[in-house]
Amino acid sequence: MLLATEPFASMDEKAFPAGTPLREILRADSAVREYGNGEIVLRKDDYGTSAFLVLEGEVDVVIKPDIDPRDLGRSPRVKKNFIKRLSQLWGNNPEPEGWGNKSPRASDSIKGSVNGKMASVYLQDWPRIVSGSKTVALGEGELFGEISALSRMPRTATVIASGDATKLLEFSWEGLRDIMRYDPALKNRIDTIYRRNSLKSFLSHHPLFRHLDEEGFVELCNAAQLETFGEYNWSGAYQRMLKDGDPTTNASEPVIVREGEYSNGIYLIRAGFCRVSQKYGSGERTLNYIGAGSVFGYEVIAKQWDNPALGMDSVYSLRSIGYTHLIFIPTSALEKFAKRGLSQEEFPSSPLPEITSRSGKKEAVEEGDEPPARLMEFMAARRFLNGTQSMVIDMDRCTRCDDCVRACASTHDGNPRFLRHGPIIDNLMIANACMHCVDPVCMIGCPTGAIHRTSFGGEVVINPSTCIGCGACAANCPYDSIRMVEVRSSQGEFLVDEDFQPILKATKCDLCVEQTSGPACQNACPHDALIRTDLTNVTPLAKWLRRK
Amino acid sequence: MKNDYKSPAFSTDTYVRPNLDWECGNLCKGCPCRIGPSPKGKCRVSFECTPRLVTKEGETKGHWTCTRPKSGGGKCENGPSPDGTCCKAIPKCQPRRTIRNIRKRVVAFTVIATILILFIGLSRETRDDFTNPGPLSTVHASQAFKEMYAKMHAAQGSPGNTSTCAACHESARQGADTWFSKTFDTLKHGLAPTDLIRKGPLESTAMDASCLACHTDMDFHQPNMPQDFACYECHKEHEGSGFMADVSSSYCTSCHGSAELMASARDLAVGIDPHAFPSFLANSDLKTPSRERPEKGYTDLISAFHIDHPEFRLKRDGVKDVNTLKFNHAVHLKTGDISRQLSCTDCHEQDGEGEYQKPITYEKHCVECHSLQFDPDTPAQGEKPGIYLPHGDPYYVRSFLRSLNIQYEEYARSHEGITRSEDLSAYVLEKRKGIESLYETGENLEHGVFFADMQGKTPQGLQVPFAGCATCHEVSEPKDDNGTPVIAKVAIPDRWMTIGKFNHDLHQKGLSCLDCHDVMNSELTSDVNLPSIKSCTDCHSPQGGIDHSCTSCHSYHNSLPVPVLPSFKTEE
Amino acid sequence: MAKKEVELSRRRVCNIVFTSLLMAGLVAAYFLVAPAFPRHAYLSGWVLFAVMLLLTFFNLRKKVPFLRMGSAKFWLQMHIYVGIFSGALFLVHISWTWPSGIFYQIFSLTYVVVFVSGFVGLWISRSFPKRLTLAGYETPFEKMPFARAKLREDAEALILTGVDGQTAPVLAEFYTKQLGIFFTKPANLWAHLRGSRGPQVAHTTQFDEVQRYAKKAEIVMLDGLRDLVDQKHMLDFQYSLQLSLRLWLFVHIPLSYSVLVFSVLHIVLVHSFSGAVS
Repeated sequence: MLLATEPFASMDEKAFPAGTPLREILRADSAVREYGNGEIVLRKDDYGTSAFLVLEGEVDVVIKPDIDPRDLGRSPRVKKNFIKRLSQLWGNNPEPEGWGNKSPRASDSIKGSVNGKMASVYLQDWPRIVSGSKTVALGEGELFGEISALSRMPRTATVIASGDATKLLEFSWEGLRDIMRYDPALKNRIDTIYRRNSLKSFLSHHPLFRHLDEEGFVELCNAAQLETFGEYNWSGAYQRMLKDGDPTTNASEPVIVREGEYSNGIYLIRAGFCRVSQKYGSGERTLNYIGAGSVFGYEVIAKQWDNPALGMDSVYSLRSIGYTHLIFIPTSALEKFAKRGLSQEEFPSSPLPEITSRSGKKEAVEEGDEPPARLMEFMAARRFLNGTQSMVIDMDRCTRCDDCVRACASTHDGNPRFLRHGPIIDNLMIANACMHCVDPVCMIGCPTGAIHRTSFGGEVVINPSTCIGCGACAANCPYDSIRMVEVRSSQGEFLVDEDFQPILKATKCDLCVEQTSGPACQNACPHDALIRTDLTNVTPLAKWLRRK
Repeated sequence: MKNDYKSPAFSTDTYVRPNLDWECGNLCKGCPCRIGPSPKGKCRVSFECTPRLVTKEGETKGHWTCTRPKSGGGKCENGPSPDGTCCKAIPKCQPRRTIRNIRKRVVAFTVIATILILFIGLSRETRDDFTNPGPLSTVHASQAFKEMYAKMHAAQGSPGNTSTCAACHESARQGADTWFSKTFDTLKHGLAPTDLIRKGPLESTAMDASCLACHTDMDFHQPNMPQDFACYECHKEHEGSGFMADVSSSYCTSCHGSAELMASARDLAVGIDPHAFPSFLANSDLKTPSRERPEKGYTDLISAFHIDHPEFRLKRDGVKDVNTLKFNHAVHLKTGDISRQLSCTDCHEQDGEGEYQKPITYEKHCVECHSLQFDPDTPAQGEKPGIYLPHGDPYYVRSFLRSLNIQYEEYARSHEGITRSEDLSAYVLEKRKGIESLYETGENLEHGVFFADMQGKTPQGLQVPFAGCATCHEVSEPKDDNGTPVIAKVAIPDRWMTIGKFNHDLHQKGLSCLDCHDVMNSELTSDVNLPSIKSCTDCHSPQGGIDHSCTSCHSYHNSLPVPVLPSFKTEE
Repeated sequence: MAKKEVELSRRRVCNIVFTSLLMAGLVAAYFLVAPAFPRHAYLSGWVLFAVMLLLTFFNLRKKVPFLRMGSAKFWLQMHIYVGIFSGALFLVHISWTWPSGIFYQIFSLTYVVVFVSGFVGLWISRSFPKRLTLAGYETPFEKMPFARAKLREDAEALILTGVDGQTAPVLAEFYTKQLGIFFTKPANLWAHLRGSRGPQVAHTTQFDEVQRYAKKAEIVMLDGLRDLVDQKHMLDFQYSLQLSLRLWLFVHIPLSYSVLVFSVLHIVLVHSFSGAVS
């Protein structure tokens, strides 16, 4: 039946291999969903792994201005004033998870619109809400959400179903990828949209290409190639890996660039992590891990421009760790479009670890000062490189006093939001506290949008009033940072639903967004043993490890 | 180092809550209940689930279902009993306090115990011993002192306690309920922050009255004191049992070493009658040479005895002995010049206390050699004295000379054994003739006796065989015709140095008189053969090793000069 | 990771030098300048009281992590250096002489205990974490009962499967006598504190002994039991050291409040019994 509708109708079934026929893909990796009027399909800034195709009816994409985040189920971002903070001294509930009537149930604005069984959220009175905004209607046969699904970037806009009989075909990422692989038409179509929208906005902020005009950008975007490596759904694979045994470095990390190969362009990393290594002895020595925003391969080309006599062979190897999404720009396009003579700040960082000295200059970390290879391997293997605010505890200094846990509890109504336990490498422990990942897997699949980022790249927080306790985020999180709690009244009785089952809510570290003094745990450790640090880049950790 | 530490197996589904006060009593067994104790420590378990009556369509009675959540183990096997109660009752536990809570209690207990200790310590019976910061000196600690104070206190009829503490401390007299208010009072004045950084010495305070109640009249030093000092500035109590420590020199030099205070003292002295200044021996019977108070008083800056204590005034001002008794020490001590070798102790005898020497008298010390035997033929015989002139009043000397016949007669009777009157007369006559041959006339005799010097020469040129009064005394012509020659009254001072005291006894070992008193070369009467301060500092200094504190020689406490002048400040 | 072990950070050198200079200055001032100021003991006393209040505020600051009062790291450093300085200040205040008098001796003794316990705490908080990390088997303190219970369950399961009605009761006796109590609660705390492996070696010897009398299958079971016993020892080690890291504060904190209470009485006494009272 689906095959009869566009775009499938015009797809060549024979182009699909026998092992993965189009029929199978559609059956396994897609599902038809029905939406009512005002039902939220996608929320802006959510992470999602699905793309949607409109089968019947219409959806509205809200362009500008955005809907109030609170209507989307986000929590209000208000810092507590002094009195409220001071009252935490005596006002915290002595009952564990004694939420009282604070927010076990959905707040008034969302109450009634949360359909627990259907796990969908309606935007009440949405025409009024979006009346001041510019919206774009998408009708039958239109595709949306594919860019976020492919590139692991947050959704760029909120999409709401309009009309009562909207039918959408939801693709999982695998399905979309497979179809794209074998149907060039779809691939081109998606590619074009990607280049037109997403890629252009990314490249236009890059120092190398900022100066280009509109035409130049179009040409550049056309010249650029999009490449992805590794498993998209790495979280599940990672957890399987953990269960089976010690997670060690995946020897079969896909090689993107091999040392000694002719360097025919640069790679801009958009999502995920890559390993930079060099031959050493009879093995490879890892020099660094680079993540989103890094550039690989530029110095070689730039040097060759200055001195044409030099070779163009790559000095390092580049491998993909887990899932990566890269943009490859060939040398020819660089020669045509890239800005020469970049200043110190604009020059892309070298792939090697760098620190910013006191004068503001970027300097390579001295040999012996970078973190040991063991530690870096551990971070990579466990995917800790994902964390922007990972809790690293120096176990040689930690007196196990739990002052950090108590401080966390005192800033969260008497309930701690992390567990001071986790994998240990030598003397460092990465505790089970939310790392506020660059690639937040937890956010994938939240039915109500309760788990969200406070801003682009900001803290990942859970809005307790819209959380329905499904546990998807807790199951997804590879680092065991989210815990489901059974909520209680102020007197300590478990709050139950109509089936007498305790109401569950997802809880995790929110980096003390409501407080004014930053993460309470770090502030409360007397021995300088605990730090919330950015692990996407090795240098902050290296610097901290060198402290005396 | 291990590669990857394997932690033991425990559930990581639940948070660790170290901030709670109570934990389930079954925690030690590893199976605490879900709900946990109340914040007050009461176990509140009942059943594992609350069965729910589910009535499906068409059913009338319905069916009880187990509602145990997944975290509790999920639905149980048997399900609820028919009456709707859960089949699994949880036995109550005895909740236990967490370590955190125990610590809170230990803190509370310790604070309460501390306060209790203080209460017990400060109770009436133990208060004194409890709060005493250090043992009292011997006398003040004695029972006798306590009784004496109690009696004195009762006699005065004043209210309050009579413990030993109360003898000095007002706060002890009035009781512990006044301590707080007194503390605040002192913080306002007396021990306010500005007082704490004020230099010493300590000023006199109300506590001095307690000392003076028994140690009367001990508050006077000099009339030109810039400020009065507290008794306890120098006399520190609570420093140890035994007698109170000697007053350290630093207390004296805190004033006598302060240019500021000495300058004030000088200014204050300007309007004061010099007689109001006591000296050490002001009210005693001892004879001292009259001396003017120095213009600047005694306000030289002194930091230590051996460093800058001023030279003794005797030496510094070149004071001369203006005594009218002529004496040449050198002659008397050198061999050959006199009949027998004299030593210092032949004339200078130690007094009873061993401190000073007894006054020198003719009768004891001079008569042996200077016998006043004007007639060589009438010497002593054994125990019987010869005919000597009486020493002392010139009137009696003249009377003696004019009654020579009787003297000779007596001499003959006692010494020669002559008893018959004719023999006596003859004897007397003989003696008279002898005298006449020596002196020619009676006038010469009289004149010679008074005015002859050591060589027997008188100022008028008369030569007599007798060293007359003028040998030692200043003899001048009689005032009137009938008068006797006038002999100037001799006044040998008992003490030359009146501000300090000295003990000769303590200086016996290893020292001879000549070590300090340079008399071997002293030929003049006017020589004051007392040592300069240098001979003291040789030993009384850090190098010399002997105690050189001010109190070795000086005392702070003086008596007001008698009679007490009503107001000794002429200005004001 | 431990490349520059002995090198001191700039911060630490600065703090040590500064505190040492301050203490030297204090002592010099006492000997040179103080004799001219007869009430210097009151001055040093008030400063000491203020210093002790500041030291006590550390505990209070820990209760308000949500107020911006400086990081706990800074407060601990200040607490340590100010605490060391307070020792010198105390000695100056009591004029280098141990006091006589009942109250004063109790008071001084309490202060000394607090001071010394502070050093003890500093030493164990710097040495125990390394020992704990090296030993492994990291367990949060409150989760230890669960781990212990699991070990006991596993051990009991092992011994129950390994022992059937027909075998001689040697193994069962061995378990109940040597290991029964061992698995139920923390054991050998003092030995672990000293770093002694005596109890663990004793168990090994007992195992070696009983193994002689076991069947092949039972030996396999005994090996499993051995591993559980080793784990229990590791857990006890964690428990012992972590407990000590908590218990030393039971001396340091309560007595520091006692010191404050004593100080109040002391202030009242030295003022109301001073000469300044009219």
